[in-house]
Amino acid sequence: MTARSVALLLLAPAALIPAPVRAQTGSELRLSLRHDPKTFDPALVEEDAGETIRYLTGGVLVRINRITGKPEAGLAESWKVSPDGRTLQVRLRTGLRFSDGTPLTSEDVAFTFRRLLDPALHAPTGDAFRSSAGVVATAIQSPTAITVVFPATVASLERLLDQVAIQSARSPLKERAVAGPFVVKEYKAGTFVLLERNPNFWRRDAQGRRLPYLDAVRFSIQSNREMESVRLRRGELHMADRLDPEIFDRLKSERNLVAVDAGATTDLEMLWFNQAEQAPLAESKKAWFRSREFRQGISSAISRSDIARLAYRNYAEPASGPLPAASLWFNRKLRPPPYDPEQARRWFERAGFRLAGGQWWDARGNAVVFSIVTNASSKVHGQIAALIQQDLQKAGVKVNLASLEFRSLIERIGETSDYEACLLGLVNVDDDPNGQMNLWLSSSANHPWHPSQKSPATGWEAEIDRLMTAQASTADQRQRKKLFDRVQELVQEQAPVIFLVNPHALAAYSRDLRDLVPSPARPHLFWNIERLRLGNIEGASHARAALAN
Amino acid sequence: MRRTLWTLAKVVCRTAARLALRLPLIALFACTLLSLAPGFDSDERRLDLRFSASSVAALHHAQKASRNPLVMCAGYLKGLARGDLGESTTFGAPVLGLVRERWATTGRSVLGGLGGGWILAAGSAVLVMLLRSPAASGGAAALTTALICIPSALLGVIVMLLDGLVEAALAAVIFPRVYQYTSRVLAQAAAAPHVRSAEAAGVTRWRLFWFACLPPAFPELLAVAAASVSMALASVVPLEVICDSPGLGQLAWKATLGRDVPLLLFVTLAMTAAANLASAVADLGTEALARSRS
Repeated sequence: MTARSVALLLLAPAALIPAPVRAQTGSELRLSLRHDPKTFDPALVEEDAGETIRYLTGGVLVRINRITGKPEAGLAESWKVSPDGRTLQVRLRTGLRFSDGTPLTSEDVAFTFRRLLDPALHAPTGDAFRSSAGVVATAIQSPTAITVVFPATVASLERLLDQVAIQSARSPLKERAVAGPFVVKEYKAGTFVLLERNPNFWRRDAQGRRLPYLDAVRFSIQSNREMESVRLRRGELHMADRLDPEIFDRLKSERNLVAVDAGATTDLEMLWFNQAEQAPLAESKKAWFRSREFRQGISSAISRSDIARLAYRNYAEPASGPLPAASLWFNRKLRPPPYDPEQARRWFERAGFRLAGGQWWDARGNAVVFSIVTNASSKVHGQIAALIQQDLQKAGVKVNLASLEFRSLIERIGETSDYEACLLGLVNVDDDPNGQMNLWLSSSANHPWHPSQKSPATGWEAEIDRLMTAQASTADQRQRKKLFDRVQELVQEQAPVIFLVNPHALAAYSRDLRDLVPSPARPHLFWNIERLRLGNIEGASHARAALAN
Repeated sequence: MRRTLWTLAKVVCRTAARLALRLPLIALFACTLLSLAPGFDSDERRLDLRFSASSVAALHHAQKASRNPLVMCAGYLKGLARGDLGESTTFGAPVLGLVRERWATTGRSVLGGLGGGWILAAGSAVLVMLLRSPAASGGAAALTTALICIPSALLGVIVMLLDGLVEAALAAVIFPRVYQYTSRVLAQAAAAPHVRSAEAAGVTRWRLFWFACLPPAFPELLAVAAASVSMALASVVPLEVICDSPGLGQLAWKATLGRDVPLLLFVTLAMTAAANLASAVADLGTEALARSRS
């Protein structure tokens, strides 16, 4: 009897295993954010989570269609950019209101641009507009008409407007008063962000119904990707994007999910050698890393297709340059450097190396050995590094791998320059060349192989500086393309950065979702959020038709 | 009654004195470790291509903190004395607010885990003692050995895949360790000559357990209980991270990755204080028990 009582007591902890939670029905879209948003102020947003919230809550003058790549009217009924790319004339729609009911007028547009271009703000969105020093001038013609004059040419001005959420100059709610399809209702740090439908959103469908169709969007803060996929399988989440290839393959077999490969993204995996003067490296190694022949030899010895096949399970494209082949700015003459061990051997010989005992040696008798640092938290980076190690081992170059915690990695590559080669991903928010200014300008702190140069260390870097500055100071798209094509050619000739692969945009979503059109551009799945629906709602294909129009 | 109050006052004073001495030392130790951590004053934002050179420089300047652990520690303790827990650099929010939002989650996990672990461990130990069956004791020993060999992080993954709670994983961490101590202590008590004589005289095992085995084992079990609190606090960090549970453990992990001094110091000090308080309660229980016996 007593033993039985003890046995019953032993079963008590079983209560710690809860009954499975099923997804609620209704029009609340549930997805996850990998981190807490650092701010809800659209002008200060700088990270993924914040950008996602800004995309869903911010009302913009012009929105870029993530499928066609073309600008579409948002809060602006019409707009005009001057040929010199300095002046923007906007005519707003009439009757616009923020979520709190306050009217949205030209004054708010002027306030937004003045705030965004305040040099003291230090926000990436504002920095993208500041191609030179000076203040922005605004001239309000009427409550719906405004002219904004920038201090210098802003190349691709229309595209940048996609990131400028108009803020209220008068609302007591400040950044909480928004003009996008949703408004932040509740946020619990580390747990969730709940957005609810903005009752004053300007857009209506063809039947005159006010958009968005969804009532709410709930983001769980979910940094664990495995957990995210488990919740997606269980139906607790409706969608997940930027999936790891391994998780994507697992989700493909789920009946209640649609797993979609939206094609190559503008993100990039790349490898570069440390050429910084102040780097605490042996002079012999600095000499190798500054040798074009050495870099080209390494590039030829790496099989990009193996990386795409093995590390990305074929969900990646071998990269030819800083942008994917599908980009409008891509130089069509470029091809991914082929895997060619024989060519690599010729490059190493030209670099003055000699092969002995299956190992390359430099002219001073040093064995050609170097280390690659990469981000420890990325499984894919670890796999890519191992593949590069194998390829280079076969080519006679020994590589040591060091996976570092991200902050340590940043310290090494950004401050102490205490590394030899680095493998890292590049996130291109936009495929416009201006988005890469800080990558290519030799004076930039983000110029990977030799940052913050007082004057360009090499002739080709000076040439890249000139070309990039020239393309940024003209609004002529053809001229810009021509200049950026040359940058891409120079980069492929000199190989300061060895471009590896462009990963695909992998996503999965619930079959309950209607009118979802995946895009390789971010946000991949909910870029047309105002037209998304849940369940079998009458007229589900309406949004698709409207989209096509 | 007066003696009991006196004992209570002594334990409270002793705990307060211990904490007053230990907390600043632990804060200094944490600051020293943080200041030596690579990437202490690095900022992920500096890799963002959209930032202009002047913005990168401004961010770097703002992030550049003193690496002197004494200065860091003194500054933090000064703020703490004024009731200011500082602002988290990772979340850009006051530490107090973050802790207020999350302490209940961790509290629930720790209490649930400890409760579950103890029920399983003590229940199994008692059952094994009452049954005296080699199969039961062998089975329990095998299970506890297996669970001890599984890292708590892996237990977290298993629980996550089973859609369980952090409490379940924590219970699985606590159970084997507590079982091993508890069963050993109870077995020792049951092997005492007077217990054996009583059993031979026909006293039931249950009565023997309740009146002859448990009382002498109680002080040791209290000490194990205090140790299990520290165990639970240490394990809750990886478990909350893996199970994505928004508690103080997850906060501590994010603070570590972000080299977030105010947040990390607070979580460290709070966990130290909790472990010390648990020991103090155990001490108090032991002393009270000793007094009641004498």
